[in-house]
Amino acid sequence: MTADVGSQLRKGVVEYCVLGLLAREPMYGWQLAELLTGRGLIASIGTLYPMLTRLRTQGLVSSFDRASDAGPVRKYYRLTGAGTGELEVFREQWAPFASTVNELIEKDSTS
Amino acid sequence: MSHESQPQVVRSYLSELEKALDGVPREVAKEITDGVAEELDGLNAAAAATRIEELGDPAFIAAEARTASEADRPVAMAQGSTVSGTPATVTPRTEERWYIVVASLLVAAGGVVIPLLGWIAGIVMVWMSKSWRTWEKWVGMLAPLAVPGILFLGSLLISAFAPSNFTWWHLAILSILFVPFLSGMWLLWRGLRKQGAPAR
Repeated sequence: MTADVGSQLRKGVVEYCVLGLLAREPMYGWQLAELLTGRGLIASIGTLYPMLTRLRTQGLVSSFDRASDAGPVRKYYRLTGAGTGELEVFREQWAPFASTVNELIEKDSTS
Repeated sequence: MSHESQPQVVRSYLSELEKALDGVPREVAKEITDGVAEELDGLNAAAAATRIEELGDPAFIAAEARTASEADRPVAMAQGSTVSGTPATVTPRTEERWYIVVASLLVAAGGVVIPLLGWIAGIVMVWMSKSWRTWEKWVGMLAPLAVPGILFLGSLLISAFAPSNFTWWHLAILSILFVPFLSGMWLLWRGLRKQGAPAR
């Protein structure tokens, strides 16, 4: 059970973290990878791209090319209407869920 | 930037990555290589080397991609519906399972049912599938050709230089039957082994 708690927890929420990041602004792959690896949510781009492909297949994100002034043309990902709705539902569920878990695993201060 | 104008370090990394991604679903593999190529585009050799170090070992990226692609979707989105209850697209594993069994059995015994053509049909099915790695397909295809061939050549050499009562060419003919069978069973094991991998 204790083998990889972090991995199990990440698996359940990392897609919603991607949706959350894309809700702020459209991002390209490396941008997302840096943010997610920096926070220890994914190990490499090898995890990110299958997830992006899956989210796109589900119609939760879409991609488009955008040229920058200095750099190359990049493929950006953005949230779709369905993705926004999905994120909204998750937000509503996450806070009470996290609060319940905290309550249950909290150390008993009286002991 | 054209391939020719890319620094050598970029060309080598991309080529290594492409090779490592063998067996990863094509769409995902393309997304990864395009994303990495885009990230390295326009960088000089020194900057590209730094970025490559950050990107990590191609074998590790490919292993992660393979795991992520094979694994069932995460808890909230995995059970046929998303959080909001919208039906989600789920790829059934059983579809691949029957394909693996039929292709492997054709390799194993198709040549007995319809001489040569049955075996060829099995090999074509194996090559069309993503359930086997490229090297596994080569082994599955070449073993039934190579083993009888080697035994036959061996029998010729032995009968030429050390005649004996033992007829090696009988063994070569028998191997035409049993090596495809073993090869088919091995392909079945390799294919179903991936199917049966626990969802992570």
